[in-house]
Amino acid sequence: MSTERVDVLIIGAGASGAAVAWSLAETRMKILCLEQGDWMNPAEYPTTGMDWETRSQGEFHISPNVRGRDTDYPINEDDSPIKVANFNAVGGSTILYAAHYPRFHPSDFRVRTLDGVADDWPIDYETLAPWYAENDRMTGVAGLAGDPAYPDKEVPLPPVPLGKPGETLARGFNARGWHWWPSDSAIATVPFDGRDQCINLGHCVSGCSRGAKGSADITYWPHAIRSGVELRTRCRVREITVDRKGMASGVIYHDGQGKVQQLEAEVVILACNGIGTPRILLNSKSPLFPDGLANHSGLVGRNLMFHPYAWVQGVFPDRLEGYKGPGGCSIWSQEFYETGQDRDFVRGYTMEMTRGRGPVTTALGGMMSGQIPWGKGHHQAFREVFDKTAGMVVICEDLPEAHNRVTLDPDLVDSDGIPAPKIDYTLSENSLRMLAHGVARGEEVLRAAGATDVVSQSPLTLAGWHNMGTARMGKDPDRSVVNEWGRSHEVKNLFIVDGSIFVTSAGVNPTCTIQALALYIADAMKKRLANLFD
Amino acid sequence: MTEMVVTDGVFSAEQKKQLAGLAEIMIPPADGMPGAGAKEIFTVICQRLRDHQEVVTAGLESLTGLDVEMAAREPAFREQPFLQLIQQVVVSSYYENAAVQVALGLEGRPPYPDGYELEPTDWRLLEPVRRREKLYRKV
Repeated sequence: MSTERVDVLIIGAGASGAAVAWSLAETRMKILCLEQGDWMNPAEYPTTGMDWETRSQGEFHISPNVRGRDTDYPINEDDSPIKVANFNAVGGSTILYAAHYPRFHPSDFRVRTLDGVADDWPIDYETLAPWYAENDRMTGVAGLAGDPAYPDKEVPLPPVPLGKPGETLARGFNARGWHWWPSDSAIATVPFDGRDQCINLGHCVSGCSRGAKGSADITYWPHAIRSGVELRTRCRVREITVDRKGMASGVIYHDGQGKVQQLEAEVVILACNGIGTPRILLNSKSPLFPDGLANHSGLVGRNLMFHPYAWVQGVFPDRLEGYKGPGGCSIWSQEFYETGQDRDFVRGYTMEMTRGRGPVTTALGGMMSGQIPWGKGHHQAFREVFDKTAGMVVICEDLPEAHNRVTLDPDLVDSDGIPAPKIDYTLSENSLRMLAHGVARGEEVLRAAGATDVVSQSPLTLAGWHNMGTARMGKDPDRSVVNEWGRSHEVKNLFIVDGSIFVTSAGVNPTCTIQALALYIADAMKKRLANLFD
Repeated sequence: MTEMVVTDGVFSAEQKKQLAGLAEIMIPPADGMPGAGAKEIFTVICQRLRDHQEVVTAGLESLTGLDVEMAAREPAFREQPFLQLIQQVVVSSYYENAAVQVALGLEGRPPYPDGYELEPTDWRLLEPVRRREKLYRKV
């Protein structure tokens, strides 16, 4: 076992690891990032071939359990109605994300004060606003300024074109008198920072062959590496080690050949998302930390939040060319985002419009639901729906509940023999009511837009993209894992920068906030370099 | 069935005949569209089922002597795991075929590298929303 030493060790090269690495690079410290996945090659993404739909259901499947790459780790999700979606590579899950890039609202940081539920964050929107802005500039966010659902903000790039599906649904929202706005999208709609502009390939969620989508491997990482950060792939961390004073001393990891390596570090930063981060902490047991590292509060792994999703789709009379344009990014509506006194739930949701489905997905979905038969009538039934559907997902705020949690599975291990995570999760009554409300409003707007044959699914099973809350931030060490600038309350040289530090989930996709938080924490570290561990 | 089938070393000629028949029960030639048993498509189906030889062989045996077209009217029959597998492969092989896509009004090519053009958006659509008060709660 060889031992080397770095100043800063970052575990995970996804959205947050990339952002924190880039920001800390200016310190000229020796920074190393260990990533269990590979660099991805856009030339190998599915949209380069005719079989793009098949490949997106195989090696590019959003479920690590289905995909089963040797860079993935398995997850026991038998006791969760929502299954985890992620990707393990440089860029992490941004490789497969839809690139939806909404910010939180100011109210999202004050849910206890405003609505009497969950907890307030120890920071507020104003604190994060400059880091949101910097992150938008680094990522290249497309959108349109002036959204009345948000405080004023600049948007660096022009919005993605709506196409026929987006315009059709926008008319439906106008007919209802409801809010809608072009989505903030991490998509280069014009050439940006060495990236080509989007050419509407459609299937962003199996990787962008064009390189227009702002996945972290092509936004932050090239800059971080040019600034001196070292990124090492195929390195899977088993545990964080500690010294006799209870400080993190480094990590033990498995390299690409499966050899166990040890590495010493002055500072350790976890950036492994709301599942991977508690997994490593819980795997890092020692006499000083018998319940897992930084787990004095017992909150490591608890308060897991997904975003419960529903899906609503309608069939329209004419073809919509929905295969053209970013599949997940078009328009959104936040008409029901803020808590409404006339509703039977607190907090709210965003409706995010989706474009069409490919022919394979249309046919399989129709055949499994019985809408498209075998044999005589197959072609006619297919033509009645293909390229004529548009719809939306309803993305609901999930509130933290201690019983929703990540633990270590007693039996399941990854290919290196490291205990795998187990998810226990139950949908709350509040979420179920919110989903039902969202589906009903979705049906209304689709019909107002001219749809017939409206169908829905709620909750969506394979929609656990957003894993949050499992090492939450706060000022009270008994009620949180890290402080208001991401440092562990107990282990003064251990930081967490991913979605696990979220106090609440808001009702929007979290990547933009995850990265803004990572930049904010990096800035807090830089300002305190002389007394970082005090 | 539009083509004669022969053994390819994985499936016997008889199995391939059965498979082709099954593929065309699922997606027959009709309405100006080819069937899933068409040679170019069926070749891909067989290639994709190679890794599932045991399951397919056992499944096909279970169909021997059965009027599959009649049986397939029952959802429970179609939901058998082996038939779900074959359905998945037949459908993906069929609808990923360039000629099929052209017949559907698509361009019969992968999305990349050419991509697609989209009309510029008429942002006058947003006028009613622009006139609204701020929606977010101030804190």
